[in-house]
Amino acid sequence: MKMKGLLALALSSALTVPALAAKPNDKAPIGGNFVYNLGGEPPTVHPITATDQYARYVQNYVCDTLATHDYETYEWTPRLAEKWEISKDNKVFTFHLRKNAVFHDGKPVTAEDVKFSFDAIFEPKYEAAHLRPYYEGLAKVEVIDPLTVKITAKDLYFQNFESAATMTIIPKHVYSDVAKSKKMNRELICAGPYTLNKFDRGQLIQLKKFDKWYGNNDPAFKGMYNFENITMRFYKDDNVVLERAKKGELDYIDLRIESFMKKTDGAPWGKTIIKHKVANDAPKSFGFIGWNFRKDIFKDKDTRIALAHLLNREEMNKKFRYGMSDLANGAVYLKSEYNPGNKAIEFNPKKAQELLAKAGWTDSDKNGVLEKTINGKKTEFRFTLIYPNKDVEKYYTLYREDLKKAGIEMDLKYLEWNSFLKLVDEGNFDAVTMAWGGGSVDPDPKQIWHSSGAVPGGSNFIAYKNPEVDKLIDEARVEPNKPKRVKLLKEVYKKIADDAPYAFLFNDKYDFYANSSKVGMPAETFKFDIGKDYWWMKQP
Amino acid sequence: MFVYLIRRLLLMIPTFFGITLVTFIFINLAPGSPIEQKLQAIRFGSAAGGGGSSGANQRGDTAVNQEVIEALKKQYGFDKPIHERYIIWLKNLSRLDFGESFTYQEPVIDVIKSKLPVSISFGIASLFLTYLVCIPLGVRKAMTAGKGFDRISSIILNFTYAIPPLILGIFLIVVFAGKLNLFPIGGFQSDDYESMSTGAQIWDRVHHFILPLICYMIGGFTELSILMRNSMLDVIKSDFIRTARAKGLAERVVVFKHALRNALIPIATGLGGFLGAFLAGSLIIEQMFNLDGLGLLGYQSVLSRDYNVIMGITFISSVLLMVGRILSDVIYVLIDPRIDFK
Repeated sequence: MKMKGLLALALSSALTVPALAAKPNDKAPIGGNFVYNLGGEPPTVHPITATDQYARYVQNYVCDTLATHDYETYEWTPRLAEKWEISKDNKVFTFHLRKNAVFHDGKPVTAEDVKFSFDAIFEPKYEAAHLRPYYEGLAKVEVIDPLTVKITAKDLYFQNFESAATMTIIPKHVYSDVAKSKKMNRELICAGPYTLNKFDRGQLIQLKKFDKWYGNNDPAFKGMYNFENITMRFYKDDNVVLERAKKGELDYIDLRIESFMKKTDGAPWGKTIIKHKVANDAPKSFGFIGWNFRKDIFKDKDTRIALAHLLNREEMNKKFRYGMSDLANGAVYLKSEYNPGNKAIEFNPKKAQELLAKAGWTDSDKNGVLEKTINGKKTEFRFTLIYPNKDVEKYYTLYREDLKKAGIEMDLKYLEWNSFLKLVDEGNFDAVTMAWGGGSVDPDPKQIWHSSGAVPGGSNFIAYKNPEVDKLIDEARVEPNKPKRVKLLKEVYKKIADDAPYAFLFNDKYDFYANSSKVGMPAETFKFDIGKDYWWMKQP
Repeated sequence: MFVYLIRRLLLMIPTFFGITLVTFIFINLAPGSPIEQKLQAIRFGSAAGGGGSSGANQRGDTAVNQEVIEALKKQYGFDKPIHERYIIWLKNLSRLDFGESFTYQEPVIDVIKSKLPVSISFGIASLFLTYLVCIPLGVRKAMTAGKGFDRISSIILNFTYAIPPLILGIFLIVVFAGKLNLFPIGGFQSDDYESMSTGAQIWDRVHHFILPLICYMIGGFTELSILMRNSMLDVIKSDFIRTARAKGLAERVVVFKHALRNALIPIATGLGGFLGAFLAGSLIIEQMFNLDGLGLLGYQSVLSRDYNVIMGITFISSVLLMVGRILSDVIYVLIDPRIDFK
């Protein structure tokens, strides 16, 4: 396996060091048809009612926002708004729209449209209740003049500006007729760089470069959106995706690590299709085992740390992940500036035994299972781990054996997602395993780590409660000064890591993808994104 | 016969209530209603739903507030008790209104209609080909019972019956569509289908359909061929065939005129099922070959708890199934005058 791994590494054109500052190619030719796989079909692309990620991928090209983050610096950069002011109290954001921004039907983008885009989310007829939580921090949107809009926030939450700036702006004259708009599930009229040309159910979505997009003649967008057409496919099966890519039917595919290592050797790989292994700073997900704090056996910190010491992540990484993951050291991405740099808990059965003994666990009846008197009752160290995804079984089979050696009995129980979630929401479980996505570059730990989230339907389903953490989170959420917020949240993440409420698993080191050799790119990755928006066709 | 048909048609009514009521109750009892699906999208980002990997939401709030939950309940009609919702569904059904799909936000009937081309193509082609292959094959096997052809074909049939469609699908795609490049990798038609001539369009569809159809049918030949063979063997052993042979009739006449008609009776039971062909589908094959059919729709509707689509598919397929059963009985009578349902 080692040899194979090395071979694959030699063949890949990977940059395994963080790239130097990537810049768009000003001379990128315009044209060609870029075909890529969405991985699934969006049931609807309606800008208000769509809820799935596939629709979001489409909207990223077809729709536009007031401002966006730069892929390389993460600074705010203008989009539909050419500039903005933030009031001294951080509660009022005034955006000045571009004069030359138009929707795909040629009508200009005005402050009325911005106001409508916000109001529609809270208008029951649009049935967009699912979007409301994202905008609840905003109180109102007011039209100052046709090109100036004022958005007022309810509180000082640091992500209120993000909510305002990244709201999808939709044309009032198209979507204000609710009944008509509800029929527009396969149409999308927005102001983005591409128009939705065709949506054939079960077949494809085709986008066409919008010739009146304000960015076409703006030097700030030079080298961006170079494809004349973008075709999106909905292939789900991994083998099919690989075969199609090999045949030259796809210009971009995401690769799973197994595919990268095992299924991408020999022709045409390296000739007509190039695979990449790239490291960037986009936040990466982490898996975890969460200990239910409502259960007496997990209430003791030493016990939880011992459980983490018995998790042989080094071996799992080597066996199942080709050694290509980092051991997560806490609840925030390893490379994030918010990461306090705690040492990842290593596999150490000896230390685990000491900690378990310190916590009062002994095997006095010599039956091979530890016990402890909790609240006057003799309790054996047995628990059940529930999980909604069979792929993780191999990890926990390994873990179960190491726990057994230490005198702890763990049962594994697979549950269908909805049944799993029901138990999680009820708090009716011992231990649970899942993964949290990378989330935002500027994270907010409240949803998962604040004690107020320990309610049915909340994301703090393990009922972790630490008053100090609560206090720091509350402070950080209303701290507009980023360096100060980083300091506060570093402290939060440090305390969380020290408490070991989860046994943290892995952060991926790399993103894996492949592209056809027809495509040119300024860099394999930008700092916070692969940067497909900067690619071009070599022979358009 | 007429009275019998009327009785059977009347019996469909309680059966229909039974099927829909049980389905309605079950899907409502299963954890994860459409509202919970939406709440999951809010809590975990839209990537949630089975993978167990999810992203924290933007606002970072601790739980979705009650107002949003109430709004969602109202949006989907879940502010009413289950029995009331069932009655509403029945009332709408009487106007042939299946309601709206929660996922597609389109009328259920339109969603189902959009998947029919794939399903009907699968259904009709496989029904037609299965009978076309299995009846002659079964007859031939019966005529050569115990001899070389019968044995070898039995081995082949058992082998094909045992092949999992998933493995076969991957094999066909990798070898015939990938390496040899003889077929498209999947899909229902080419991208430039609209601009083709009628002949080219037909060929394009056929070309796209060969591999998935092989996958879909490979296991289906075995059952019917063996049934045909055994049925034929039973008939051939009967007295009237011995009489026919004794009269000196040619073997061809004995087999095809006297034996085959009687041997077809058990086979005919399946013919009523041709209505089901309109709703044919296979999740695995549709997913692998990127076909947008009813198999995938049914599966995804269950996963996403799209109640109205589940109920729509259940209703249509149960009606077709019940009518198909009655048709089978009618075919029985037509083939074999001795059968009387009085």
